[in-house]
Amino acid sequence: MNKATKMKFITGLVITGIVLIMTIWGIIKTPYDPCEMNASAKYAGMSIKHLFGCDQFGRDIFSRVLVGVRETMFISACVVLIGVFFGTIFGTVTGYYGGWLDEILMRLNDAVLAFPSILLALVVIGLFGGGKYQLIAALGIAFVPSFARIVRGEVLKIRNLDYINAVKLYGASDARIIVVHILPNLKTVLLSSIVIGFNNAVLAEAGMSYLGMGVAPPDPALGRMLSEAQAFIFTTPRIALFPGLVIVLMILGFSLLGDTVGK
Amino acid sequence: MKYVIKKVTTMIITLFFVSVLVFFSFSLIPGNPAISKLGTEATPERIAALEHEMGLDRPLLERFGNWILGVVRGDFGTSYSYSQSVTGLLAEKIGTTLLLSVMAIIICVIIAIPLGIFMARKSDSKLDIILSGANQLIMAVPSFFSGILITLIFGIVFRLFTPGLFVSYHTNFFKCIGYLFFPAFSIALPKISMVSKLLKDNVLKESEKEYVRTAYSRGNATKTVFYKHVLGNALIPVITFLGMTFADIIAGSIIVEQVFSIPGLGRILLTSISGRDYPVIEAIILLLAFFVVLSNLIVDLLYHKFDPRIHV
Amino acid sequence: MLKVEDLCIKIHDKNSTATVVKDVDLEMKKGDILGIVGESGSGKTMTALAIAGLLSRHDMEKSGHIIFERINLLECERRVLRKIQGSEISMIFQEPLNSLNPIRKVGWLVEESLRIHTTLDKAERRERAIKALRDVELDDPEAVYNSYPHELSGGMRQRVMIAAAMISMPKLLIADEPTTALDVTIQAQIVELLKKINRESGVAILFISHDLSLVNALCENVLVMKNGLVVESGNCQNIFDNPKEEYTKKLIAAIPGNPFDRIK
Repeated sequence: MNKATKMKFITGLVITGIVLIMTIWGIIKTPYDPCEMNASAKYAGMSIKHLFGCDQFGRDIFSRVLVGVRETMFISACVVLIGVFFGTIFGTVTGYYGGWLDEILMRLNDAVLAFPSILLALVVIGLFGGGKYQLIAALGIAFVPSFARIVRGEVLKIRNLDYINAVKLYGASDARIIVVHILPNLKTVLLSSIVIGFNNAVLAEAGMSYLGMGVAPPDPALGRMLSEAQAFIFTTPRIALFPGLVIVLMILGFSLLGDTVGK
Repeated sequence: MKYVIKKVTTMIITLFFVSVLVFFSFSLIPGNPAISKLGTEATPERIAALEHEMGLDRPLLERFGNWILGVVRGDFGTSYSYSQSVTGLLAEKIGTTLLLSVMAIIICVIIAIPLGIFMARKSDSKLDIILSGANQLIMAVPSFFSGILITLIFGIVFRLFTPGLFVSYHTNFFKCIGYLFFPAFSIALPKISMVSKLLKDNVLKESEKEYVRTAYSRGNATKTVFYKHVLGNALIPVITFLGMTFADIIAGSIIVEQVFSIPGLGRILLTSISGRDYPVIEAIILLLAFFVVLSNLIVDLLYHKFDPRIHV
Repeated sequence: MLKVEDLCIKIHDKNSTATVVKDVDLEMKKGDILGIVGESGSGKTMTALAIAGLLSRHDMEKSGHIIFERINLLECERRVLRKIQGSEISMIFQEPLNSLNPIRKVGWLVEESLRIHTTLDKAERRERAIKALRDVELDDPEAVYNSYPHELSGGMRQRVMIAAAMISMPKLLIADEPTTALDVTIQAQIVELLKKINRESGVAILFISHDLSLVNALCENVLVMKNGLVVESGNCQNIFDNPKEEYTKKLIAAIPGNPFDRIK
């Protein structure tokens, strides 16, 4: 790891650390109820009481951002989990066995990969309706192909190594070879693609909730906070600024880590 | 020529698959469009009559056949909620979204390529470190947020355009371009960072190659070595990337249309999704698929021209 | 024509300095063929690159003199050096595929020195290029002219490199391990080709190799280098018959089989 990479890694670690603290804070207890409207605090400025000020309904922006971060992290984690889980299964099976199944699945994979995840998720939501769990399902499906492709490539590489052939000579079953000898070797590749996947999931979730296709109101979501605040951009741009900056922070942290993990 | 035919055939097959997938998934989901259109209190006779009118009483395969024949002729059926032909409904919006996407990619190329070259030539200087850091940051700003910031800065502080006052390209083409410049720029912004970084990295990688030494041994000056030898090779991966990015840019324009209140495909896709207007959704998905596949085809052909090693 | 005196090349790393070439002297007259042999890391390629003016890295320190036609290549301006590169001194390299720009056609690459150093028009350049390709015994020069490097075989690519180097009729051709990446039979053909070119055009050839048998087949004189130093030099046949240095003996012993059977 050279000096520049090290700097990037540490910066990424610090930023992601801050995001994680915000997530945990959002899980445990926020300073205010994020949905509680306080007529006397409408458009309140930044103060000790309201760190980021209040929005048009007098809701505490800081509390809403904390809950928004929590929701985004939860959805992204589920999406990445779905992507990794099914991606690893498809990738391992097709990569290990090859043949016509591999051909068909990979053609399908390429076709799906050609479409941006936001478009795919919009189609799925068009089919099943909007909402938090539909969004997780929609983005999860959209994320499977990229993981499947990465895992398949790696499995193909490992499968042809001499030691796998040696293990086969000793009579190990396919299942044993996959579980004991192939899966553990995917760790490094998976680690960096999980971080990059997180980066993309946060971006997609924020985009979808900006379009109003995520967590239902009045519960806060970072993307929707932005789109709602847009009406007040002429008068109080601050309401849009904080959720936006937090999204940037999350993506920046994960992208810095994704660039440097495993180097 | 053979290559082109082969590519076009694959493109048609892909589009056919997409249309099969789209049609059947939207036909098989529960819910009767006739009921949802008339409301639950409508009489069974009226529902049956509307079902007949909409062609919903015919077998699925026949409906698919009719639909796909219509699509080939440019007829996407009738919108449920607007009671208007989908083609008529989408015609102008397609133009707007395409104009926005093409502008975004042009802006991206015009800025990113000189920037990438500049960063490569100044590599390891302080300026390069600053630019690389800025790039890393810009890549993390989603286009809808940069769009809001751009509205704030250029629309409200500098008053270079009036947010929300979109002018159709039918009314005034140049005003339309003027309005679309800012949304196109916010779509292009993260891509500029990615493309310039990719180009810089590639220029540095190519400069280490042996053919560069050969070029110097012929008496080339540093500049000619760069423009006549290194740059062409360094641009090859950039072209692949731009091709993949076009799909992303179309998706990005759907979101950014919301930010700048542009009546394009994105806007109507979202209202159709919430209104469950399936013919419109189907048509938009198919159109977007068409654009994505078409852009891939164009990139394949360009790539072939740029890199003679790719064999057909 | 070429005289190298006390050539030293030092590479500065972050905290250490390595001397890769030390006090090398050599002299070549018009039409000479001089060989430099040594293992990898002996400094032979560095010496060749220095003469070709291709060592311009900042972390290097060069001292001594490289006098070519009364011009000191180590001290002259870059502009003067560039005038000589490709017109008076040409170079060919070990890996012909990597040394040819993959996205340019052979014709364009062969004509490059003419475009830089002459005012010939397109048709004249093409004529010269076709002639150069024919001179290196390529069967169908027109077809080769219009193909890309990756479409040719290894031997053909090296012939293309030689054609590109010789098109400007240079006084000195530096060949840095030009046969190492090729099959043994093609190695022999390339060596024969270099001999013929030297005979017909009178170009001096500086031939760098780790293979003493090739050097012996081509060169009159030879320098044996080790760790940046010249350990032995003189007439090729003499050195081959009774090597003085232990190192030279080892190099001769390293030649597989009877060396004279391999080259003719």
